[in-house]
Amino acid sequence: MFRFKVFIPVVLILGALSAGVVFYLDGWVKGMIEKSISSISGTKTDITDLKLSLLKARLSIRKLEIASQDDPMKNAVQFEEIDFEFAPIALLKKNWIVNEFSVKGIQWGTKRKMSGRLTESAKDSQILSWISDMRTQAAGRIRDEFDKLPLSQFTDFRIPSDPREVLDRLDLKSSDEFKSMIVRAQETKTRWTEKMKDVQDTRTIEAKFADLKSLAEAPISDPQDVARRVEKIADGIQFLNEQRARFNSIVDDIKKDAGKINDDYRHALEVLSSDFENAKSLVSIDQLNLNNFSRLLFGPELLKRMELVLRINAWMRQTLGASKKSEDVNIEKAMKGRDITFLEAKKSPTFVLEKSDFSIKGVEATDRTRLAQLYELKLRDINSSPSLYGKPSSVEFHGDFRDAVLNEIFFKAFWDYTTARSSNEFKLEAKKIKAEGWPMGIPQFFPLKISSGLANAEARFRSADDAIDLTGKMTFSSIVWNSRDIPKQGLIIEILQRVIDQIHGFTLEVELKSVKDDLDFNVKSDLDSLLKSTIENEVHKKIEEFQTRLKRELDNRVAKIQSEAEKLAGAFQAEFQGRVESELKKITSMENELAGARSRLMSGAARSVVPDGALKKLKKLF
Amino acid sequence: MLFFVKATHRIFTLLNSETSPAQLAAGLSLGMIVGLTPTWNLHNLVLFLIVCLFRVNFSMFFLGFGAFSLMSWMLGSLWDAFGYWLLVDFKSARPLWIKFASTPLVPYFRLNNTVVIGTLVAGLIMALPVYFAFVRFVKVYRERWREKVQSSKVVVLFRASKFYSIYDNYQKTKQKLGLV
Repeated sequence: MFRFKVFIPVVLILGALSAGVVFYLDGWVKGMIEKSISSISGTKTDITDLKLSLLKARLSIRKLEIASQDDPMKNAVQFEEIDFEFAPIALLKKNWIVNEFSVKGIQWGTKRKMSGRLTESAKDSQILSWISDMRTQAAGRIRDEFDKLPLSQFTDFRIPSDPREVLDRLDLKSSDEFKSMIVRAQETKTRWTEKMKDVQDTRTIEAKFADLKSLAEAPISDPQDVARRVEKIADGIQFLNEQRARFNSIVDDIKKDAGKINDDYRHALEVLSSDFENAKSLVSIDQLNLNNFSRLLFGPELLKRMELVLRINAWMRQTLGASKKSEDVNIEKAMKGRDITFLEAKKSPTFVLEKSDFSIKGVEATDRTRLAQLYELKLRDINSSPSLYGKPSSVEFHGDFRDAVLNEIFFKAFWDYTTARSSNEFKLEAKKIKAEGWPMGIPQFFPLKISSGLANAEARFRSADDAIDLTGKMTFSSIVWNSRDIPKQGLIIEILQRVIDQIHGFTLEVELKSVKDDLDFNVKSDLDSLLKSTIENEVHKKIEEFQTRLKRELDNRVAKIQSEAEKLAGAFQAEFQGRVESELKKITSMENELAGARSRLMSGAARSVVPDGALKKLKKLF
Repeated sequence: MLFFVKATHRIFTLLNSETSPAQLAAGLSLGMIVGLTPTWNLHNLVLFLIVCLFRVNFSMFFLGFGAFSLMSWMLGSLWDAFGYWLLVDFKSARPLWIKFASTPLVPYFRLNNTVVIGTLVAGLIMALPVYFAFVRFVKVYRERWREKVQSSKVVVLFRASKFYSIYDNYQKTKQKLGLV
């Protein structure tokens, strides 16, 4: 039944296994801590040495380095020593209760030997998603917005030196319009030239007039003859009257055609003006949104920093929050299946740090009496399972530094995961942060950096379940920009660079807020109006000057044909209407002359031969 | 293919050998529990120690482990649902789980995990029936079917197959080299 032979080998194997576990335990815990911190920071975390002693119930971490997101060769923060002393008996029940906790030597911005950038595969597997799938998608939409920004509009924007460059790109219609107007006018003119030949052939009228005139002027013989002649003259006047009406109608027709020609000319002028508008629109800043430059310039970097806060929040939620089925059970997702915790069995969480207040004073290496750093940390009710512990947790940190990357920092965090509805509140205030080599702007297009300067920052983050509200305000002063890497392209980039180089202080406000299923991301700055007005003024000036040259070039292109069209339109009416009207004048004068001759004939007849009775009769007749 | 030939050959060798049916059945039952449950769990170390210290057939243990690992993988989320029912919905067992959770060292067995408890309980429930059924099967096989099976056409064909001859040569070579 029992294999006595294998008893000793099994015991030996077990012993070796246990030794192996103890030997590798340090490395395993070290890897686990590094991976957990990296998942929050998004950068490499390195622990130089970690010692876990189960007998002494002590965990010592020596040199914990968390790499900076901005500069992979620097650490965001470095801890020289972190020590935990825990209760060993509780560990048998898988409870990690810390009796003592101490941190020594916190340093910011120290140099790293190796790059702190995570490899892409490590990033994918380690970085936590945003607060929830819904929020991750919303954040993706914001990131997409920056990825798809029509930045080429800004970078490619330039004002051509030669207006022909713009006009050649356009299909100009004005020239063709003037040409077709001229063709139509020429056709009308030809038609009227032909017509005028008939109109001007007034020989019949003149002959008739001459006959009637001689008839009126011939000596009076008898009343019957006078009456016959007067009747003929009246017919002649009637004829001339008809001719006058005909000529008047011709004048009306000429006016109508002249009107048509003028309309065509006016239309061609309108087309010319529309060609100019089209050419103008090719060199315009109307399509560029200059209202919110700070969103464009600082948005991508701010979003990156906000993601870090949201990742911390996601990590806390994943670690501390648990979905509750009922009041006595906690359910957490595990790698395989789900882990169920019975609240009535576990009245206390696996890790509890009820209260810890401590401060560290760092003295200067050269003068030990001078205080270089001061840290004050207050921890309240830090625990691994808030729902078991039943009290919310809080952390307060205050740091004062001399000659460090920042002068003063105040951080306050409060989180409540005691119920199914979780809530967090973080507040951070940092004063006189040395802004050195801070990336700003749009990578690739406008990679601007703050070379040196100071910044005061305030940030507040509040979350309740899926709802988040993250606001921040940064006030920059004594800024010196580094715009060396900005490619020299386009007018706007050039102006932007020039304007920004002259700015030494500004305020930046940012907000990331949940709105229903989406996230609202706003960036505001006092730079917005300044950048907008400067760009608009400078660009408008250059555009106006260019437009003048553009108009001149366009006018030159159509000048010859336009002047021909203008001449034609002006001359047509004058030429034909004038000629017809001169004929009309002649007819009117003939008509008047005949009417006078008739009167004279009648009065002459009256005076000489015609008795009173006959004259009265004649008067009655005419 | 070689693995399949090897496994089949091994099963028949074991069935035809004089190894006690109880040892074979214990190997299969324990292999089944280890195979069903997630491998890297502390209770499997305990089971492996039992296999090492008691006269349990190793070959049958590993065969059971392989076969039931495949079955466990195929049934997938069923274990999670079963484990959840045991831990949360099956209120009568609650005091036991609570006791486990508060007993030193037991929490490291991760019995509060739905998949672990689901597969472990299923394995434990099936262990005894599988044990007794297999003991009975071995006995019946040896008494009634051994001769028939050995002279059956399938076995004759199997032994005459190329795969079997390769395997046979391989085993003989191993014997010559003293590896068996």
